[in-house]
Amino acid sequence: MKALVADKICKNFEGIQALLNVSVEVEIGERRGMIGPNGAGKTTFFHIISGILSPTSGSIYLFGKDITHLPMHARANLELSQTFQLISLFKKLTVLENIVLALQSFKRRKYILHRPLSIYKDVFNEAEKALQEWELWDKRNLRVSELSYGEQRLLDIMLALIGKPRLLLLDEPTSGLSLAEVKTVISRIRALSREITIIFIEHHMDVALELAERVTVLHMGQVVAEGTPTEIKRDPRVKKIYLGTEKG
Amino acid sequence: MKRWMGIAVILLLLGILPQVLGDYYVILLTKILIFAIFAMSLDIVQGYVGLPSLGHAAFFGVGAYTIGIFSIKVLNNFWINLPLAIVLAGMVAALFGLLVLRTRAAYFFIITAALSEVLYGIACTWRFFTGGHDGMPGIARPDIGFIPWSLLSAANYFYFVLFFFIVAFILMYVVVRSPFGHIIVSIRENELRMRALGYHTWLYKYVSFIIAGLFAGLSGGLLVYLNGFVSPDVLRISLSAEALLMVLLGGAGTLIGPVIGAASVVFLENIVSSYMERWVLMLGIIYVLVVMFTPQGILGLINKMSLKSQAKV
Repeated sequence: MKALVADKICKNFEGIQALLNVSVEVEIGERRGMIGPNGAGKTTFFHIISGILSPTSGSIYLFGKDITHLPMHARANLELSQTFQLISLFKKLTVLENIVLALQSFKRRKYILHRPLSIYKDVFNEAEKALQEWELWDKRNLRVSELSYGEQRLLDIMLALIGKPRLLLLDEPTSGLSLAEVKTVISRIRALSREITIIFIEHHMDVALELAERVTVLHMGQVVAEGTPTEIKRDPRVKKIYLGTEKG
Repeated sequence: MKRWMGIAVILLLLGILPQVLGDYYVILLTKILIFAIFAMSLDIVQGYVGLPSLGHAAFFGVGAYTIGIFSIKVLNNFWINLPLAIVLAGMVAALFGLLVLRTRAAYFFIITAALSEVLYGIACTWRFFTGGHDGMPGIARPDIGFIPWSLLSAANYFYFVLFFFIVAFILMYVVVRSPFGHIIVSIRENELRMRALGYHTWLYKYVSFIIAGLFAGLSGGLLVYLNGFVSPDVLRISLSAEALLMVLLGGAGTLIGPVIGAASVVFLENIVSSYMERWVLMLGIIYVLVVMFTPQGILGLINKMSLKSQAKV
């Protein structure tokens, strides 16, 4: 069984072909990088996997289950998690409230109307444990908007990981970060359990090739190459896309 | 502790006021409480979920007409009619919710107004049941049965409405403090991320819409009992707009804000209008000032001022 099978995915935006017969298979526990120039269709592909967009044609299987027509929240409940290209948090809420929100989504009590949230100590204890692990406990009572960009990015990834997903989609997890912050994020991603399959989009070629075991290259909505980082570095088509020449 | 002291003082005041004020002012206070329930119910949808509705009067009107029609044409029994008013308003909200929650932002605003206008049209034209534009007069105050006081007295009816206000406030407070309440606020803040976290956001919005409809139905019913009369005015867009104004003026996303907003609007409407003809102009100016200088409403201004004074200390 594969973690993800995207079979001949096409996406057409009113005449613009964003994706054309994109087929990708990702093994369980794999770290898969997706690269390609701007407008290649990487984020569109992610949005189709997560359910933000519906494919014009094609099928998606998550751990063997056909999720092509499932809504986004149902996919999340099948342990598919994601971060977005732009940091997507609850900026008016505190760091702790953000984590509690993410933790609650996996509990039946999320439908409770008649008891105060504050009585569910176990959620707050879990949140404390997670925040301490990610070294954000001291900032728990700050509003997200008061955090630095790098801290927001970490919290963003943390939110996606807190439910222990089986498939994690990271859309440019290092974008906008300083070198030191990039290192922190990379080490965090590296330290993740192999039970989590990771697919990530990355613009920093060196980061992508360092983190990924296999890389898929998209160009103009099509898969143009796929292989190990070494194979991708040598691939003349990739060189042409990135450098405008087949010579390295 | 301070908060509880404040609540105790307000309740004490509300207990004493009907004994010292004349009937006119007691009725005014009663109206404030009724519209406060209405504005709080709208705030569940507008302030907490972030869906500004221009059709909330629909549920207020359903509650009002249920009391009117049943009291006059079927059976004048408070124990049946008021619960029925609440349930029917909730059912209409459940039906409307299926349609309106497919839209968002300006479209939501317009479609809620349009559906409310449909009910207004029915109330105007279905004369046999609703009395048409003339409305339905002669609706008696409720007869509770076991309490020794007549609700015909303005003060007694005030206490009766105060009871419902307190119950409605507590119930809505419990909802907004619950995990559900935390979730609807977060949907307002970032719906896409909520869906990505596994929340069925439509369902939360739908349930919130129904809850708001139930409380609006209650307030509509209480107003009809107060006035002894119901007309299509209770379904007009202008009433929805007034409720929207109450919420924005007082402070959206809180329960106290709409109460302050309801008190301000009802006070201006009834007191200022007796001194000046163009009271709506004054209301408009106040609204513009609030939006420009304190977008969090009067409550936001109070909080800001109290924070400043604390900082000075």
